[in-house]
Amino acid sequence: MEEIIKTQNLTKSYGKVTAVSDLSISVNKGEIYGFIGLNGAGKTTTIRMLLGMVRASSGSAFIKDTEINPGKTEIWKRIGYMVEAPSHYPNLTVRENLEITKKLRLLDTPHSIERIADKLQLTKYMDRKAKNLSQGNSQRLGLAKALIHNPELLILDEPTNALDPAGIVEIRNLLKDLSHNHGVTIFVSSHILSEIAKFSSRIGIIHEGRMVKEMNRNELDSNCKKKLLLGVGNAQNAQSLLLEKGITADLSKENYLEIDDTATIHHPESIVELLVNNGLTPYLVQTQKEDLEAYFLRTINTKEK
Amino acid sequence: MKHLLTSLSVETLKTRKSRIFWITIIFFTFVASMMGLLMFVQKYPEVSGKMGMIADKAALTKIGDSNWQNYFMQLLQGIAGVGLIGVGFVVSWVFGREYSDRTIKDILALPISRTNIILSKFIVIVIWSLILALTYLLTGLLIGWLLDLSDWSSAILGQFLWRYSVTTVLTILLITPVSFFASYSKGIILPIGLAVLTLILANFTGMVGLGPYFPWAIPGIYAVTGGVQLISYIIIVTTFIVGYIATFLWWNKADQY
Repeated sequence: MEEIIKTQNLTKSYGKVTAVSDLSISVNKGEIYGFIGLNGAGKTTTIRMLLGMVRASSGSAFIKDTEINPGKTEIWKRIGYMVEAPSHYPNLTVRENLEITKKLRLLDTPHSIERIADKLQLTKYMDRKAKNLSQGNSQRLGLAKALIHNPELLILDEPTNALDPAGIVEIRNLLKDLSHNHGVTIFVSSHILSEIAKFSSRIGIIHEGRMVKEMNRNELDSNCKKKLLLGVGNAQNAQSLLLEKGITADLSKENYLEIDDTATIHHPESIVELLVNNGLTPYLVQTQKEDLEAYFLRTINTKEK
Repeated sequence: MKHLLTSLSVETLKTRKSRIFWITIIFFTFVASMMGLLMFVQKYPEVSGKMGMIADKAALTKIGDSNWQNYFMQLLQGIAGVGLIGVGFVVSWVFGREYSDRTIKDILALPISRTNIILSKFIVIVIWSLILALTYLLTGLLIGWLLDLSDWSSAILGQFLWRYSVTTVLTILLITPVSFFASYSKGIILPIGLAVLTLILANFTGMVGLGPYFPWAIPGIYAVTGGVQLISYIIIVTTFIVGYIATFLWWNKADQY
């Protein structure tokens, strides 16, 4: 597999504050790498280091085997990016903003502006000044600028911010299409795990500047805890009965019994039989999977402890 | 070279489409018109009596008779002051707006080098400044012609044009420290403040006899006297070089966020 992004012990400190610490990432060609972290976790600083906007205090970052250095310009030809909220020249129209990006990307493909505007549904706003765009359309323009030159690598910082639900789905599908059908490698950051998990092939969780977990899509699924939820009329009696049989069940706020024993989760029929035989027929038996946000927070909290 | 021209076309588009460009042209036209108005008031004292503060100002700035030579001197004094502020504002806008509009991040990781981006900005600033100088000059000459001033001669005009050109060049050479401050402060306010401060300091140093050694006082001294010492030229060129290197290093070496 061709390695597109590689960082080795990448560290950035501002005085005594370490924004990113010993970060080592490897992203292969065609992957969508979701980079997750709370606000201030170090996502944007990492992206800025990848783009040569901020110098690493130590460690190194490579894109396609080229060490990132502001002096090297050739590497940026095939990279598209959007850092934080998109910004445009406010008094220029959408077309003029795209024209500027096209020129600065040394692009001479005819109709590239019309093509990308069409792809991001900006065609009807082409003559509107950027300052008069809605937040969602401003985000689309930012993405259009990142995509206009058909990059091999796309680095996006919170790309679905400010988009409405339909816009989020649209961008998600666009990124999937770019990765699956055009082989574009995508490095995308977000603070919303559930959103990124929907289209990333691999996920890295960064917290307080450090990588706390890296996993692929399948590992994420299996890492999310499952539990068996039981609704019983007399929950406390049921809890005591289960305890007598060596099964620990917690009582939730909603008065459900929660069991996280793996064997029980996979074979709930034995426990149901036990309860029924003791006159405690459950009205609810449900296997519940930990949601991604809960998993994300649990991962971070575990690391903090 | 191709990259520089591409970057230059982008900077030109940004400038041409900005309202600020036209506002500065109007401002320089206005200032030149004011110089003409002061000469008008001096030439027609019977009218000036009815013009209150303008008449007072005209009396204060009166150099001598209402002829071309004195009018040209008035124009030179005007450009020495307004030039510093105007060019300082232009530099602040060209560099600082990239930070205030947060578009700076879009021009850092490009196939075009940051050095070319900076160079194209400087070229646009120089062209813009020359357009402003030309606007001021042509407006001034037109108003002078309308005022039907006396003692016109091509020798006086030639001497004025030479002084005017050198003053303009000396003023333009002072763009680089402002560009550094705009980049360093990541905005427009501080460099504009700096431009205003340098004008105040230029007046102050001029009063205490240190003008020839203070870069921002030198264009004004040249405008009035028609010449400065060699050290003044060295100081102004050194200021340009130091400012350019500082701007170049800041863009290429400092963290940009």
